[in-house]
Amino acid sequence: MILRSLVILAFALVLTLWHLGSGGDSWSLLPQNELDTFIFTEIRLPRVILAFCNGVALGLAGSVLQLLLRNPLAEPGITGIAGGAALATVATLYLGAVGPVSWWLPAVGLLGGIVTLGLLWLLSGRQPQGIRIILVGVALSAISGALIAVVLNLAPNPFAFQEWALWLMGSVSNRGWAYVWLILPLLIVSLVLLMTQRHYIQAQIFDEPTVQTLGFNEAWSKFLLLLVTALLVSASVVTAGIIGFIGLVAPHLVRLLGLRRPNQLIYYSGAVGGILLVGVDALVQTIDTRVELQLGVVIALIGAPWLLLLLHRSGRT
Amino acid sequence: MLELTNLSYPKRLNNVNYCASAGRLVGVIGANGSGKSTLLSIIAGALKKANGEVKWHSDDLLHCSPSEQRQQLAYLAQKNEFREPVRVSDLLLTSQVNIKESSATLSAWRERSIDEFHLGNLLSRAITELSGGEQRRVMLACIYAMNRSLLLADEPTASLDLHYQLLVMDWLKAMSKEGKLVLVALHDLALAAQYCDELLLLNEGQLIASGEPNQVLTDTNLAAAYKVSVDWLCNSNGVAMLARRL
Repeated sequence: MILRSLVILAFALVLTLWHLGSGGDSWSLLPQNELDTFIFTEIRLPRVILAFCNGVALGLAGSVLQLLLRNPLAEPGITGIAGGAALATVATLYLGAVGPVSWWLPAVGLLGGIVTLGLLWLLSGRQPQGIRIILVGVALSAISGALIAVVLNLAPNPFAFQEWALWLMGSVSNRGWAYVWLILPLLIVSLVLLMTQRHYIQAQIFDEPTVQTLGFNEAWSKFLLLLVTALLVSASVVTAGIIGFIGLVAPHLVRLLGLRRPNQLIYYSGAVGGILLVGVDALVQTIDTRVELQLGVVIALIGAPWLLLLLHRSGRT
Repeated sequence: MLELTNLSYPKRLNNVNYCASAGRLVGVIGANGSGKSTLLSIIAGALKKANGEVKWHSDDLLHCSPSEQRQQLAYLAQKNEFREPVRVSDLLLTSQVNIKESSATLSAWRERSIDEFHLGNLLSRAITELSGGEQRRVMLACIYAMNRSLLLADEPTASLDLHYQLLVMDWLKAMSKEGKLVLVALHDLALAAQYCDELLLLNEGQLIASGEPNQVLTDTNLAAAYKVSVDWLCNSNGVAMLARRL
């Protein structure tokens, strides 16, 4: 366990150093002059922290959903919350209600995520059983996806279309500290809420009927955990757009590391999600393309075959 | 003392009235869909919104909080599905969650349970690696480690071989001998006749007979509940089994 933690920490350190040193003309970590210092403190540092926070948020949200819904295929996307937050943001931009650099934009995105959670909760009967809430989530996700497509269709000009479409694919470039200060408090609140539910989370090692008789206020605990995922996913969407796959793959990587206790699974998924995103973002910066590749796309391109390879290997052993 | 008064659940259970005292092994029998699992789930708090009253000593189990209910009873579900290969020791530890006792007491109960169910060599094993019988043994150990005065077991012998069926019933009998009230839903009427102090016979959500096994397991009752005619075959030691009447 200590060894695994050290390996994960070492990975994080190496990737962070690589990330901080990448993106310029040549690899350099220590600032040489004032411009370097500015680039380091105002561009690279917030970018790596934002990437890590986003990965943590998605890793936590994915693992919580997989535990709560008792479905290893659950990921933030299928709850419709990411779609709801993205739809609210894109619709606000389309309506021109607020400017693209306003604080109101992430606030509206967050509200979109929370409203979708409310719908999810009500439509799945307030006592969500695994399969029902997944079906409701898939339906909500399809609706928000279709509405986002409608808004993109109605984009006033090709530039707006490209900007919104790229934002939807997910990226942490050119965000600055403001976005870090947006996601960090939400991450901390979510972690505190997760801590308060640690006994309920641990009890998920038993089957559902047994958990119901272990003395928990189930409806409240489930609602709180769904709220946590809504906060995490919305925070990620409003700061970096839609980044898929991390929420699905991080918990499975943690399982492949041999960590199975529910609380372990959740916190390590957060750490692994953060490391994955920092690594992929560093890679995105080192690949020389005309327009920087979007994070969500690259993660899926690298992560999916990697997951298949790991599953193939673990299946053989 | 457990008192069920006018206990009903829409479409599944109809006005069940019954009284059982501590230290008894009470079997709940009946055909598939007769309401056995519903009855146990309501008492356990796994099924909400039932009508009527369930009194255990002076507590109304239907209307107390999940935390208060937890202090009174332990429930063994019909099937236990384990997805993650968590260790047996983790299951045992987690089974005592929300029980208001000192950690020393809880630890002593766990130790006692490990001894009683011979789990010493299974503690570090993953639950998913164990056989169905061993998994049941672990779950019974968890129930025992909770040390509650009211035990509810929903078909604990289902899909077990004869060896484990008898072991499970022996353990439940031993728990009732310790002064606990054990309510067990059973399909095997021979086991019910052999082990239970009292039986409740349910048919289509209604209690059609209750009392000692020989009063309940009559030809008329069995024909009404199971829609078949059967005969009891007994050997010289009084051990019985059922056979279709020819």
